Amino acid sequence: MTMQKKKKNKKKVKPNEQKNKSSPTKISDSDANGEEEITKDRVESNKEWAMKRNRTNYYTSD
Amino acid sequence: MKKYSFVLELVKISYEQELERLKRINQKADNLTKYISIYLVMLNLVVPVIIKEDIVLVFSPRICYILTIIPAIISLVIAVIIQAFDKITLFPRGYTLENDIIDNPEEYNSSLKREAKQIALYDDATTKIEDNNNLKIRYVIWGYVSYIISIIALAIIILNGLVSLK
Repeated sequence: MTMQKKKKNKKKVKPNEQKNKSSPTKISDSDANGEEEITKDRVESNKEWAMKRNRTNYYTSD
Repeated sequence: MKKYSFVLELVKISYEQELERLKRINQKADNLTKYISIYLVMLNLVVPVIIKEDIVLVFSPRICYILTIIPAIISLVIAVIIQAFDKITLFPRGYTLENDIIDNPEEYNSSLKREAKQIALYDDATTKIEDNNNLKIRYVIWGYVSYIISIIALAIIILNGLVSLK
């Protein structure tokens, strides 16, 4: 009986694992406009965008 | 808490930590300058005494002086360089972002996209400050190493002089 229960539990875990594996490159989050996803490509493009927008300056320490 | 808000909070903390680290490194460089200044005064008081008292040393007083003063001066130069400039990344000006919003409104049409951009800006700034800090801490370590070498050299010379006096 206990073995059967364990097998059932294992079967329950599998769909979650598959769900995680199916979308590894996205972060989905809810918004006022509904569900939205940020992909790895967008993260990379944001990174480049930020590098262009931020200003690098030299200033003297105290 | 939303996933992106969670990330944004953490990158803000990370940015603050890096700024705090920069302050501490600058404090260490400041301390190094103070130690070396005091040390150089002491060194220049000890050397004339050694020459005046005709204390017999393994090397000539001039070589002993060079052995102690060169690492001390290297350390002082390093301390000055560390404190001279910081390479810091600042966030974009308002009009830059405003123009960007006008040009690409679809890039800002949801709070998630805006938060993702905020995270990218914080990340970029943190990375640049971190690089600056890592470079500075390497200089601080070399500054302290030269300072310690000079102290050890002076200690050896003083001990040698004391032994020869007996």
